Amino acid sequence: MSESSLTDTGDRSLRVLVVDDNRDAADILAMFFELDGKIAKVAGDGEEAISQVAAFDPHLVLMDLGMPRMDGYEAARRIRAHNPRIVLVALTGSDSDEAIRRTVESGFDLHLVKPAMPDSLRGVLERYFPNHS
Amino acid sequence: MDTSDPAGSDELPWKKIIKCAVHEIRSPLSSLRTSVEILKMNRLDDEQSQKVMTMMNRQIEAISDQLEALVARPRTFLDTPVSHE
Repeated sequence: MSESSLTDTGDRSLRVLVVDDNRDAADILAMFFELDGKIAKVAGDGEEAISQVAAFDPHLVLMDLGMPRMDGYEAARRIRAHNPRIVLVALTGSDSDEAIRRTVESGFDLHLVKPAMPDSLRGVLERYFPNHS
Repeated sequence: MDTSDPAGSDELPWKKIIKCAVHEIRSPLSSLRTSVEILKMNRLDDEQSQKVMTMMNRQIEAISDQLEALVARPRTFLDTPVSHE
């Protein structure tokens, strides 16, 4: 799994993209990061996530797996292909060995199982973005 | 809530259905947990607090609907994405 840091991006504000077809879930998580001083945007499926990555250039993407149009696995593969340093975190209700294996294969850095503890979310920031957590 | 046994319930793949139901319920539960954390921060204005509570109510409704479906229409969970893993 890759490590990443903002120290070499020159950016002061951490940009977080939350991808979930449950709009409330995405909005609530985005609000959590914004209250923590980050800049957050949301996307409702994999296709929108790819568009948002191109436009928003996030440092961190938290993405659900089961979504319409394009699932999180395929979106992660496409995002990872063009963004080797972006931090991709799967945030999903699936905790099966098969789901975890597929997230690793798809290029995710981390697999978090819902319901995610707030400290787990903060732990992601501390682990991958120690200068911005 | 209809608590009568669904037709043919003895023959249903309950292990798979429960796995799918747990997956579906974890999402709104996760949102509720994050919402509580946001409210604990005590940094929202009235409008933002109202928005969060409205979203929390929708997530509670979603959990309630999923539980009702699990009892009355368990087969519906076999059509969810996780059922194909």
